[in-house]
Amino acid sequence: MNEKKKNRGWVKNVAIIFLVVLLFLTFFSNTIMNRSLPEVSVKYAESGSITTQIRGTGTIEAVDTYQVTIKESRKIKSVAVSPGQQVAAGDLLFVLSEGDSDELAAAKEALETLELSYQKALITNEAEYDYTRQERAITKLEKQINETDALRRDYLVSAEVYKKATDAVKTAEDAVNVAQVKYDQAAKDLKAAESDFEVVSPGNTDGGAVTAAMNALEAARKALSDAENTLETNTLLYGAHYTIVENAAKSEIMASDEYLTLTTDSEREAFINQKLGVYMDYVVTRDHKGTDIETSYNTLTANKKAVADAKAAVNSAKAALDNAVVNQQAGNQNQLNYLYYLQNLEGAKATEEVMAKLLSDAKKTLENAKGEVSALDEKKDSYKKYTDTIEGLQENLEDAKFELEQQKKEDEKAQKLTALDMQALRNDIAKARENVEKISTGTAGGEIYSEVNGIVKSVNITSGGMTEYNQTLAAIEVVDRGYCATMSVTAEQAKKVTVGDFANVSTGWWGGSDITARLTSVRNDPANPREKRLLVFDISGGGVESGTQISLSIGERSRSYDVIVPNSALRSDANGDFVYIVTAKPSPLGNRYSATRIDVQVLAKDDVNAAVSGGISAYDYVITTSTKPIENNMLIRMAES
Amino acid sequence: MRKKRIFGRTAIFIISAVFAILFLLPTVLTISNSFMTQGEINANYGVIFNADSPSSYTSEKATLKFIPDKVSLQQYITVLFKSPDYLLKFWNSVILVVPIVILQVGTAAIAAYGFTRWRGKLISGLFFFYVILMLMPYQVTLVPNYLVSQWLGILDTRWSIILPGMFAPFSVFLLTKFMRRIPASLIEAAKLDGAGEWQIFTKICLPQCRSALYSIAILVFIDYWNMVEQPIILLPDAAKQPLSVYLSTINAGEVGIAFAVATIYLIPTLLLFLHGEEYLVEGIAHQGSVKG
Repeated sequence: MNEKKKNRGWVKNVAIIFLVVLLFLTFFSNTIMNRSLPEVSVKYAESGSITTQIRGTGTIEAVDTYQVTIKESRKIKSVAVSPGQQVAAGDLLFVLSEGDSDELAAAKEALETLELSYQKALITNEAEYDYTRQERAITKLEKQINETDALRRDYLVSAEVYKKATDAVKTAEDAVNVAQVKYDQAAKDLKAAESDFEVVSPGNTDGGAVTAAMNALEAARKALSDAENTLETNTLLYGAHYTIVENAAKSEIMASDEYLTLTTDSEREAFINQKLGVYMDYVVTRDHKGTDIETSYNTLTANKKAVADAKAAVNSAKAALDNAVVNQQAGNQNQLNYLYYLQNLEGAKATEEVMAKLLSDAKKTLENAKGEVSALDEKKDSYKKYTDTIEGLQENLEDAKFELEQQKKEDEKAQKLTALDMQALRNDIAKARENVEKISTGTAGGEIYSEVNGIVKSVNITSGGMTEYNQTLAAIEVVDRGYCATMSVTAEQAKKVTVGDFANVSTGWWGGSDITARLTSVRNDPANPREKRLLVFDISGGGVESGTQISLSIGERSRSYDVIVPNSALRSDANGDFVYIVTAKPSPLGNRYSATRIDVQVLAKDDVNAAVSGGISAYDYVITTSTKPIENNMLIRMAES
Repeated sequence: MRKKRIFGRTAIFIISAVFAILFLLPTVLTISNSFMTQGEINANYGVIFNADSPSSYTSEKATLKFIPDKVSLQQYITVLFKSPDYLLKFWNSVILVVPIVILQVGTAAIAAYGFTRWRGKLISGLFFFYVILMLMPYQVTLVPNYLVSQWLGILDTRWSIILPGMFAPFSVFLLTKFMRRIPASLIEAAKLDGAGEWQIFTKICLPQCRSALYSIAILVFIDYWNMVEQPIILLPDAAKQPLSVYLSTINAGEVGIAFAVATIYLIPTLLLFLHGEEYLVEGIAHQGSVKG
């Protein structure tokens, strides 16, 4: 509570100032606001009628104005009429001075020049056309062609002959190829035969060894036979002894422990045969030593050995014999081979010689055929050379003929052109002559007369003045054709009038006149053909004078409308026509007024008012004028008046 | 421990700053937008007011824009020089609010003195009734106010706003609480010196309660400066309505003006707050610490 308080006095001052300012502004706010608002004049929208009239101005002109012209330069001696004067057809207008005019002198000179040119042209164009040189050249070329053709015929080779020759070459080539193949094969066979012959030998054909072997075999066979005979004898002789020993030996064998273990008969028999010899020796040495049995047994045994040896000798002799036979057979085979290859070699040599001869003959035939074809080719080349020569000559002949034709055509064309030029010259001369005659006779002895009835509108030359070619000397309005006036209006306005309508005419601010205007046609205005039309009036009545400015009003169609506003209230922009109406808005200080835009469509319009339709009703206030530009919803101030 | 405290304070500062910015945004937006041209405002907010037929240059969404493309006083010129309506509405607000504040503070002070000086069951019951009334929202009493105003014949007059505004239980409650903390011995001493009730009230109590009176005056001013419902119901005549009502019914063509008017309308409240800031803080602080 005792803390020092901040000084807040400024806040109070600010608050006071703030409130005073606001109070001040509030007091003057209406005044300030009204100053800034645009002041507008308003008018009631009313219902009523509108009379549509099209107004405009035009100048009275004569429908037809005759221009008095002169075609030569002459001096005017006197002028017989003055502007505003009425003249009749045949009345004198101008008198000209004596003498040729410059135009007549010039025309005569031109005529003379043309005539001279024509005479020169006649001499110049007398040309002759000679084609002898070209025709001689053509004849010479034709002769050369014929001579060359005669030479060419000697070298003509028919296609059939040439084909036969070429076929013969081809056949010979085939024969050479076949002979070559056969020769190559024969040479190859000869080489193979030579190779085979080199490796074989004649072979050994001696039969002495065989004979010796056969003899040895015979001896061995004889020894065997003897040994077998001895054995047979001794076997018969000592057979009994042997049987005794044999039986004893069998009994021994059969009594042995080993035999007793055997179970089958075959095993027992094999065992007996195996052990029989040993046991027999054992039985003899044990039981029959020194006896006959021992002797018989030993003899028999010896005989058996001798037989076995003899058999071995026989087998050995057989083997030697077989060997000798084999050697003899091998020697015979080598001999045969030798002879065979020798024969082959001789045959191959003979074949190779035959084939070589055949090949040589075929090659000769081929050479001959080729030589024939080569000769034919040479003839053909010659023939072609002559042909080329003939073609060249024919080409030259064609060129010569073409040149001749072209020359003839050009000459013909030149002749035609010359004829045309001459004709043109003749025409020019005729025209120049006419011109001279026309100028000579145009002024009718130096006076100019009127050709129409009318009023002289203007005179463009005075006495003593020089005329120029085609100069207008005077203009005469043709009274008989009447007067007209034109008025430019919009296309929309033009729709409201019809041909035959009469327009009100006034000639000045002081009032009307006796002049009547009747609409005769409606045309496009050349100045703006899309939007504008020209109303053409026929002007009649008293006091009609060309050049008079008149005011025209046409169209009298009165109609009632619900809403009519002053033209000054109508505004338009890109969105079309519109008016601003006054809208009141209550506020604490009374009503505030604002401008509200209402889009309208103009139905009819006269000089003062326009009938409109849209969101506007009768007795709405429409703004006609304002002191500042106004916009939609802008606050406005009503004019006090 | 110290680091933890610094961290805590920093966090609280950041959160407070964020909330402060959030609460200030509408005010800043209003002031900054009041310097924009009408065209720029239409481009930014036109879609809100012209939802049916937005202009071709209007953005599809309302754009909150704080910095004008071209600072313009056009809106202020319109408000201050070309629109007397707004100024009159401002004075309507003044005419309504100033009497309410004075009368309410006066009646509240007298009522609070009564509650302070005399105690008893009846007084306690009445005070309790005041508290109950204080808790009720204003809208509840709006219909009775309307009926009573109609009965009194003051409907559609400024009195229909001022009279109900004179009597506010909240002010009475606050002042009662504040006055009860004035030492009884002080009052007894005054009585011994021969002071009557009026003298005690004016010479002793009111000076002691100056800060509370000021804070109540500020709060009441702000409350009624921004009122909308009461004038709409009780004051149908638009010519008498305050600017706060007019602002709420602003239309599409006057959005820019609304910003300027709102800014101007803010000034009296701001000035009042600046002037009585210390009293307001002091008064609220003391009222918060008072024990009933």
